[in-house]
Amino acid sequence: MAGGEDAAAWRGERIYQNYCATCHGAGGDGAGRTARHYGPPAPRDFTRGVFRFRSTKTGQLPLRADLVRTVTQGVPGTIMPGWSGVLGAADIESVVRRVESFSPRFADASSGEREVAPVGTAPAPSAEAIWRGRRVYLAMQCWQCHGLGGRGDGPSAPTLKTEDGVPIRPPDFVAGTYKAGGSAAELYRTIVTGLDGTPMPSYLDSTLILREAAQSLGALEGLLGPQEIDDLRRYLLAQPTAETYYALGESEQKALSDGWRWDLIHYLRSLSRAGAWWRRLLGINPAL
Amino acid sequence: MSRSKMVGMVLALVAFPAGARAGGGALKGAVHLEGAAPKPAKLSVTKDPAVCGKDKPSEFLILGKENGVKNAVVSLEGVPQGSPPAPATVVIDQKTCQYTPHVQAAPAGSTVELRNSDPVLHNVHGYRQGGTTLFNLAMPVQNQRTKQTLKKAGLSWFRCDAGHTWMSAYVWTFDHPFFAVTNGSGEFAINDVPPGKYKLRVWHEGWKPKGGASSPLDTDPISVDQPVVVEDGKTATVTVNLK
Repeated sequence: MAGGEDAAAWRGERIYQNYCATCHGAGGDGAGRTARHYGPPAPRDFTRGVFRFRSTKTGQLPLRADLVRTVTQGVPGTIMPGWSGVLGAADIESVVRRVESFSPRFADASSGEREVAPVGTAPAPSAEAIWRGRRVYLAMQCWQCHGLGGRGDGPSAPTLKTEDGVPIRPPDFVAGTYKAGGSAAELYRTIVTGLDGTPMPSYLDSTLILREAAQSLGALEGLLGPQEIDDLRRYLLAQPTAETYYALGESEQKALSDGWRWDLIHYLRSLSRAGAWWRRLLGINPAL
Repeated sequence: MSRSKMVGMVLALVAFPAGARAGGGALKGAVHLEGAAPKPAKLSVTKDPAVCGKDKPSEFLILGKENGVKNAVVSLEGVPQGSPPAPATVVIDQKTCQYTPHVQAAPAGSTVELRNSDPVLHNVHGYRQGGTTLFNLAMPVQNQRTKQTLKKAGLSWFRCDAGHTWMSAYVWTFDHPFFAVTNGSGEFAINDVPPGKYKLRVWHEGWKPKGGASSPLDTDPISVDQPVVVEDGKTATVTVNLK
C-alpha cells in the first residue's frame, strides 16, 4: 500500500536522523558531527555500499537481516551500540531500509546479487580440536597478521590499512572481543565471508591445509621453538597433497575444509580470556 | 591536480589503404612518452625477502624503443555497435610477490582467474573505481586458483594486504570490443571498427605520486582523449604522447 510504504519510509528517516545521524551523518556518509571525536573504526559510510558484517560472499551487499542484526546487537569493541533496548523490531526494519537507500548499489539489480555463504553446525570442542586448530592457524599463516599469540601483532600488522587508507589492527583474540560476534558460528561466518573494506579476506575457498606447506616452514624458524615446528611439520605431512585434494568431489573438499575451519575456530575461542571472573579463577575454559 | 593538465599531442593522423574489409576499418598506433624518461625506480621489499627478493623494479612507467609506453589502455568511445562482446577469462598470477601481468583489458562480465604461484600468504584485494572494495580473497596456498567475475565496465585494481605493499595490478573492462593494451613498444591495434568519427581515450596509471597518498602505489593516473576518424576498408594511424 503506497500510504503504508510512505509512512514507513518517513518513520525510517525520522529514526535515522534522531538516533543515527550524529555519528553516521545526515546523508549517511559516516561524517556525523560527533564522528571525528572517536578513534577508528569510524562510523560506516553507507554511501560506499561496502559492509563488513555480512552473511554474503565477499564483494556482495549484506542481507537486510545482516543489517538488522548489526543494528540490534551493535558492534562490540566500537562505539556502535545495540539498539534493541531502544527500538522495536519494526522500527529497526524501517531504519535499515533508510540505511540501504544511501547507496545506489542496493537498488541496482546487477550489483544487488547476494549469495549466502552457508555456516553449518560446529562440532563439540575438544582438547584435540584445539591442538589441531593451533596447527591450522600456523599453517594457513593467520599469524602473519594476527600474531603468533593471536594478539593482532603479526609482522604484517603494522602495514594494514582499510580501503580508505586508515591504519587498522587485527583484533586481540586473547581479549576475546569480536566485532561480528565470538561464537563458533559467528567466527565461521567471518572467516568465510571476509570483512569487506578491511584487509581480512574471505577464506571460503581457501581454507586448505596441504602437505606441500610442510616445505615452507622457514618463516617460522627462530619464531617458534624447534619442537613446535616439528609438531607442525608432522601434522602437515599427514594432510592431503594439492593433487589429492583437488581431485576430490566438491562435497568432500568442503567436508575437509570445514573440518580445518572448525578446528581453527575452537583454537581461537580457547585463546579468549573473556568471560566471568569466576570461570577464569576456576580455570574453566569458556571455549570447552 | 586535474587530468586535463596531462595533455596528449597527436603527431600524425594518416590513413593507409588496407583493402576492402567487411567489418569496417581499423585503428592502429602507438603511445609514447614525451620528454626525457625519468630514472627507473625500485620499490623496496619489506616482507618475505626469501620469496620476494630484495626489491622490485617499479612498473609505473615501462618504456620500450623510442620511449614507447607499455600498459596504456586505449579504447574508442562513441562507436555504435550491436551486442556487447562475449566475456573472456583473464589470468593474474602472483609470482615472486608480483602480479603478472600488470595491466589487462577485457569485456565486462569477464572472469578474473587468480593464481598464487608463491609459497607465501597473499590475499587479492580488488577495488573498483571510487576506491570501494570489489572483493577480498585469501590465497594462502601455493598453486591455489580462484575466480571472480568483473560484472561492470570500468577500472578494477588489485592490491595485497598481507604485507606485500608494492604489489599492484589493473584490469579495465568495457561494454564494447574496441579496446587494447599497448605492448612493450607502446603499440596497439583495434580492428573491425565501423567507419565514423570517434574519441580515442588513452589511460595510463601514471608515474607521479598523488599528493598526500598513503601508499607509493597511488599515482596520479593519466587520461587523454583524442578525436580519430576511421574510414571503411582503411587503417587509421594515431600517435599519442604522454607527459
